[in-house]
Amino acid sequence: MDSDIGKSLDRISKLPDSVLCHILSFLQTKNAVGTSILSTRWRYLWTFVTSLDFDDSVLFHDGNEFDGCNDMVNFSFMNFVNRVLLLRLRELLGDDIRAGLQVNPEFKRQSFQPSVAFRTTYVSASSAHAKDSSFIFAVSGWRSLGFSSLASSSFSLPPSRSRPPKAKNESQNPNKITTATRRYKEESTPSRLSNSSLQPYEVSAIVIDLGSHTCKAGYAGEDAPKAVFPSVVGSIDQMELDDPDNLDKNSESIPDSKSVVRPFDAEKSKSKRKLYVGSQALGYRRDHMEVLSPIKDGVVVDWEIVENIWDHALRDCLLIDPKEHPMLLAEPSSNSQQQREKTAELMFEKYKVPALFLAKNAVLTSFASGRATSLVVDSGGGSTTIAPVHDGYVLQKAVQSSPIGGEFLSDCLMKSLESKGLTIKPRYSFKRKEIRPGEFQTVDLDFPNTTESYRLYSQRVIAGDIKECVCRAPDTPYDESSYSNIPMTPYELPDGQTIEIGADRFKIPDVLFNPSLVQTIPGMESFVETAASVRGLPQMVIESINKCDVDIRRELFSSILLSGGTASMQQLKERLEKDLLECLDRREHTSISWFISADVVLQV
Amino acid sequence: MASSIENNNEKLTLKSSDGEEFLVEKHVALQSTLLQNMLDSDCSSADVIPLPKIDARTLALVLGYCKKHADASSSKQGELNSFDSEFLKDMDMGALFNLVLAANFMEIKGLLDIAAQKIADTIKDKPHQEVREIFHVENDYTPEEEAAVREENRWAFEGFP
Repeated sequence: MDSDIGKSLDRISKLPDSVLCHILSFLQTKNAVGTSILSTRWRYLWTFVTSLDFDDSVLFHDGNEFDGCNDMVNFSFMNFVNRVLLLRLRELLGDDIRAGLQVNPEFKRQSFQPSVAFRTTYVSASSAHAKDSSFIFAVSGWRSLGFSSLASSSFSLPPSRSRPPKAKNESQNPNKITTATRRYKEESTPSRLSNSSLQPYEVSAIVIDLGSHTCKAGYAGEDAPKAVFPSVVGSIDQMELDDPDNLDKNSESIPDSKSVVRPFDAEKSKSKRKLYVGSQALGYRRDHMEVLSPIKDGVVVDWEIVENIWDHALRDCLLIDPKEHPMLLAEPSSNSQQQREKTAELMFEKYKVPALFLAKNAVLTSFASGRATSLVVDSGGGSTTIAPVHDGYVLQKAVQSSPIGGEFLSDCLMKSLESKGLTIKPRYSFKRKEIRPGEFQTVDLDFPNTTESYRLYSQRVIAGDIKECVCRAPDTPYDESSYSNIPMTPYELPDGQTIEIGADRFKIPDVLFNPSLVQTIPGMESFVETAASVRGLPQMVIESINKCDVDIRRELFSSILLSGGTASMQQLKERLEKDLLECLDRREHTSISWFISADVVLQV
Repeated sequence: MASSIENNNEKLTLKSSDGEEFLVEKHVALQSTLLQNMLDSDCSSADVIPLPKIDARTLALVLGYCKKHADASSSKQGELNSFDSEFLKDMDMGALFNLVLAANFMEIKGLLDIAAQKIADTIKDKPHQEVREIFHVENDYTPEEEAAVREENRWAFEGFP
């Protein structure tokens, strides 16, 4: 057509929507959105564009990047990204969005820290197949968190924009995402077999749950984690190891080549220490080896250790290349913004994972049992947390937690045994020989250079095992007199000594229900002040539910999920059920049904 | 499809909106998904395929593009790329819009892409007043509405006056 006609007419606005969207898709998103100002015809056109890139480097032009006056612009941009993401997610997942996704609430509120660059954010969505397909936000930036549809157990990688329809049997159980399982004592054999049968564009996501006591790692969709090992590491200060003989002796005597020795790059690490990760590496005693935990009060304090634990999990246990696998990390309900940022930074910058999702423990537990609303009672190693989950969100205000967890109970047991004159000898401190068939002799060994923390660690391992073997929650609140005559249960310590455990079998677990019981355990006095403010499990459950909206209380009562290693204590479920019913009797009649989460996260 | 292979040298007649007829080889026409579908579903029994939305000048351009791409499909990609950029170089906006519409109608993905890219390049990084001028877009917002739109996505207008 003639160009002079083109000049007088608004040809472009008359193009069909599909063509205009196609044109807009060739523009940077910023420019595409900018066209909304042209005229009313253009106002919402950009919203139909199927590929958007959120790249805020376009905001930082002319070198005024971290100018404070840009805050409004940044905020506007964040707001925009959020709106688009929500809109898209809803389109893709339909009504499932609430069940399948957890949008980080901080993400909405955050204001920019000028010192942290918000890098390119890359979003790819397989928009073609709505409900059936998995959906990835691969966010390669520092600040934002990726999210992906929890609904599927495998992910497609960003390069494959649309993925083949999933195997039906997999998608039938949409909410299944398996975090971990019940009792896994040993690190399992490394295996990558589970991957091999998958379609070329599909790789399974890796799930890592770094708990306060145990780190669990494995493939999404499987029933059990592939690797379970302690969350603590052994650390030897290299300063003290200047003596070469000492060093040689140490490395020679490592019993198994599989033991993980992760020497630190001296230039990189200021602290110059050598870290030992994994139960085998930790099981071997070394001079001056301190046992350190990266987590303190639920907060990661030492990222170097965390890195090493992840390294061990990914490279030594799962034998995978993190670049190839989307990553799902379980995080505690109380995880802070900084923690998430740091986690995302490490994951993207160091491991270069293609996609990352941080999901709250409680939400995962809830989804694992196939429900979007539930009350998750997570009694783990370091603490007990009760978190109501509604429609896939944790109701933060109602979260209750107490420092009483498996490790605390183990300590109680240990102290209680000590007060009776029984000391647990750590495995390294003696040699046991069979002098005649069936007859053993124990020879004590002396290692003056063993650190206190390692001794304690080794003792706790044993105390933990005693606890798991003999302890059970009493049916009624513990009282000294009625349990004084119960039969003793024998337990054979590693050194061959058999101890008898009586009332402690019931007393120790009852601390969960009645923290003030701690006062009667000698050696635990330091905890007494704290105990006063800590409530028992049933009280916490009720308090948590009462903090929730009235409308959902009934639903919460009817699906209480127990998770965590301590929660798998014998009779604990029955006891909690009974206590709760007693408390409720007076107030309301609610039917309570119980479910132990199918895959209890191990955190003894 | 078998028939289309054995009749590779067959020619089709396409008729533009202004009545001009074009004789094209079948493999050239197959660049267009629309024509391909028509041929596959055997709608080609009529001697002349009318394309009522496309005028002769545009159709000539489209067929030029198709011929180049059909003939050169085995040759070097670089050559095609330079052809593509040359193809649209001095085209005025009116012709470009016709081309985009034709490509969209005839479902010629490559052509649609390069034409859309060309238009996008024109819009790119220009203040909206300028874009309005180039494309003669009439601003039918009231000043209040315009301010509201601007506020809605403030970040997108950052850096433009």
